[in-house]
Amino acid sequence: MTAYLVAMAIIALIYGLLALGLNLHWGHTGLINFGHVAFFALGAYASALLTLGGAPIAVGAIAATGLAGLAALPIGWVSVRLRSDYLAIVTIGFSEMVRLVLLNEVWLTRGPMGLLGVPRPFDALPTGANELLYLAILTGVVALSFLLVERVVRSPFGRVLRAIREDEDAASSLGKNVVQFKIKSLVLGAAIAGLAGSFYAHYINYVVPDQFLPLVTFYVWIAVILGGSGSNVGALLGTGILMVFLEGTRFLKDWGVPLDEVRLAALRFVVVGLALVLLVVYRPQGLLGQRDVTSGR
Amino acid sequence: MLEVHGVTKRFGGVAALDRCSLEVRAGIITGLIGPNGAGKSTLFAVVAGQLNPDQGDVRFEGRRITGEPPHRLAHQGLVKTFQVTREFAHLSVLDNLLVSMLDHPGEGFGTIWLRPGRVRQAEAKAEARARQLLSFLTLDRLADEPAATLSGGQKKLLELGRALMTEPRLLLLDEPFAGVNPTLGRSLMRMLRDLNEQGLTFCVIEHNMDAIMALSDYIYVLAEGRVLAAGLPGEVRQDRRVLEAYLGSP
Amino acid sequence: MLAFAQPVVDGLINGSIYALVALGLTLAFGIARFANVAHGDFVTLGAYAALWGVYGAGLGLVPAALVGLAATVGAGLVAVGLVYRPLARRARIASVIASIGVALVLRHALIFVAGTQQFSFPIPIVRASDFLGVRITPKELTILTVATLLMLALSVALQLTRVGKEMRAVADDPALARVAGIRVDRVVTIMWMWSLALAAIAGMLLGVKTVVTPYMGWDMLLSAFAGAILGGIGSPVGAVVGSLVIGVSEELTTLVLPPAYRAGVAFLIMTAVLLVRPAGIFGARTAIR
Repeated sequence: MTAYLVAMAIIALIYGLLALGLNLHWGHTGLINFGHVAFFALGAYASALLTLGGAPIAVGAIAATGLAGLAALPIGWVSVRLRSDYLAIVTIGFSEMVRLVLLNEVWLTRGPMGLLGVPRPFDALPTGANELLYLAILTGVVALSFLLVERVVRSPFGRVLRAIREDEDAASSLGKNVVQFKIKSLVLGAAIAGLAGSFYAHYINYVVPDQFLPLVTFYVWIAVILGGSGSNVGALLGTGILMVFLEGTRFLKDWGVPLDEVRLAALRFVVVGLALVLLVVYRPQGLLGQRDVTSGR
Repeated sequence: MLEVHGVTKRFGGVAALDRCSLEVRAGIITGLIGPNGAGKSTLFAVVAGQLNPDQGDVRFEGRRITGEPPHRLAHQGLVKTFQVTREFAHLSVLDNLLVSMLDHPGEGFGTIWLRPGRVRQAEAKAEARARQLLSFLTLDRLADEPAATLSGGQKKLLELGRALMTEPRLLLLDEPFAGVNPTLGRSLMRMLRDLNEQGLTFCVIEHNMDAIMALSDYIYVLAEGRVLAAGLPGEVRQDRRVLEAYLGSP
Repeated sequence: MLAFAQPVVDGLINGSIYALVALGLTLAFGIARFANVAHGDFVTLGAYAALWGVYGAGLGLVPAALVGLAATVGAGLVAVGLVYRPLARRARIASVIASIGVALVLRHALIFVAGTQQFSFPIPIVRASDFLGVRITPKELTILTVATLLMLALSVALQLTRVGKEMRAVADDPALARVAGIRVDRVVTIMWMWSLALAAIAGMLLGVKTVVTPYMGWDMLLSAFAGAILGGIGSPVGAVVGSLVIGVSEELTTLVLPPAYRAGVAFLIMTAVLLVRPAGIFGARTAIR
């Protein structure tokens, strides 16, 4: 049982990092990023490839963070020119293109077979202890990331991001270089997602393109909306609730619900979709009751 | 201080501005009036960098600024307010002003981490100045309220406050008196005169004739995208062409 | 020259199916100002419902098609009434997120009921005929014909019927249309019915052309969106032209790139259009911001 809880906690914390990044984009800056999984994927693959090539894991993690941050630059450039619904479609398309490249450039990524044997740090330690250590490190990283994002958000820089979220043109008329601020926000959030990707790769020990479907982005969006867009605590809280639900439903079969794996998975997605709809229609301000991001334009 | 030379701007087939030329002299309050659709707000949008003109030039203090984006113009001292107020709704009134300060070191991503002391200092200075402005605008009681909860007239004052926070040299006000009750309007008039006496140049679009006549030192009348008449308030008021433009030819 | 003829023809056939989907998207966008991310999954629903009509209820192809139509339009109207309409006054992003939710529900409800395997319509496989070096099957000819007839029918409906004219008025300026006495809500509902019907038929045609899978609609949604945007979002003619261009481009690209990157073509074209000329070919020159 402990092993299971540790595993769930690790995945939850990884998603928590993703949520912190997306919350910076959407909750604080008002950027519609539906391609978040792309940064996750790039981070995971970068870290996996480098470490499989012999680099130390720390280097892999740093490279993952950096590459994901760089990948945010074209999104930043595009986001200034596109309205919300178009940006949503383009960013989904972007993440699918990244997945397509990962799927097809077999010489680099081994395509659908994926990369196996991605190293786990401290694998000299026995199983159990190893996972606990991983969990401890990850918890530390998430805590640090949380503090970092909080600091950014409460700073005058963060105040400008919120102003941009409220009204870009007004912010621009008051001297703010909106494009630059958006790009910085995007790069930071993407970098955190890349770091999450690295942790994911080194925990699961293999990476395949199928792990990086748009569904992951949608999960993170639910977590962020659920927690109340704009609140970092909310983002983590929302992730926790989402994880409990997703993992909890795995047990339905054990409790005698007569459904096979495929149907159970489908049912879970139906509930996820319903959650998105209900949240947006009835409780867009999320559980912590932050501002309603969907009012107005 | 501001020169507009032959600016033309078309939307579809319609010329909102048609070889429009005027001049805003430093130190005075210049009024801009004209019937609906005359192109006044469009002119402001072109001057403030929100729109690119199809033809013509804009110069600010001798320098050509045509096509420069709004955020750069703000740094040069040219700021425009919006006709319909665009306050940062979910930010507090105080935050609305604080965020308007130009070149706050805390807005640099690296500076937050590397020079926290400097950031704190700048923040303290900004807050002092913001509170001063709030008091001048009689909004100090509302400092911590979300801007969305302000009344229409208060939002207009906040809009002015934000622009003032940037320490502009030329302020373009788009209908500052619209929707403002007469008492507040009189205070606003006094505030604008005070600011002008302290050296701030204004160009003001307004439909409220009494207000604009009382406020302006010089007036331009726009109609159909170009300047119809210009002069002192007294002269313009009696200009037959102006009366016709507003009331239609007999 | 002749080497291009086959991809072009294949592209036109695919493009004609995209066009039906793109028409539905552009109608929803122009008249209800709604980017319907769930549209692809209504396409899928149409195919599955028709499939049930054939295998579950033992109907012939045409009655099964009617079942497909009814199911899709019915389910769609439920979504419109319960989800899309209440969000009409909110920020656009709310509609996008909600329609993503609807898409997930639809798709996985179908998987829940029918599983993830492929199905086929009981249409005999006929050898392709050879027209001047271009191979085309009777199935494909039928698809082209049906699609073209539908496009023409829609065109007639939009230009000549009263509802069609009211739709165009609402697309231009809803407030003005209301003032002119048009019952905007009714017009929008009828638009949704047409949009969903087009999706259902597209699904059936696609299912006939290849196979029926839960992801069939979602997989082609990007191409259809790209077609609508390339042609000018809000313009039915544009949706058709844009979709045909996308279809042909995808096929031509497979001459040089690995087939897996076909989806990339639509994405690249769409992004390029949005960045360079957001109004597309036939769209009004309004900003996309």
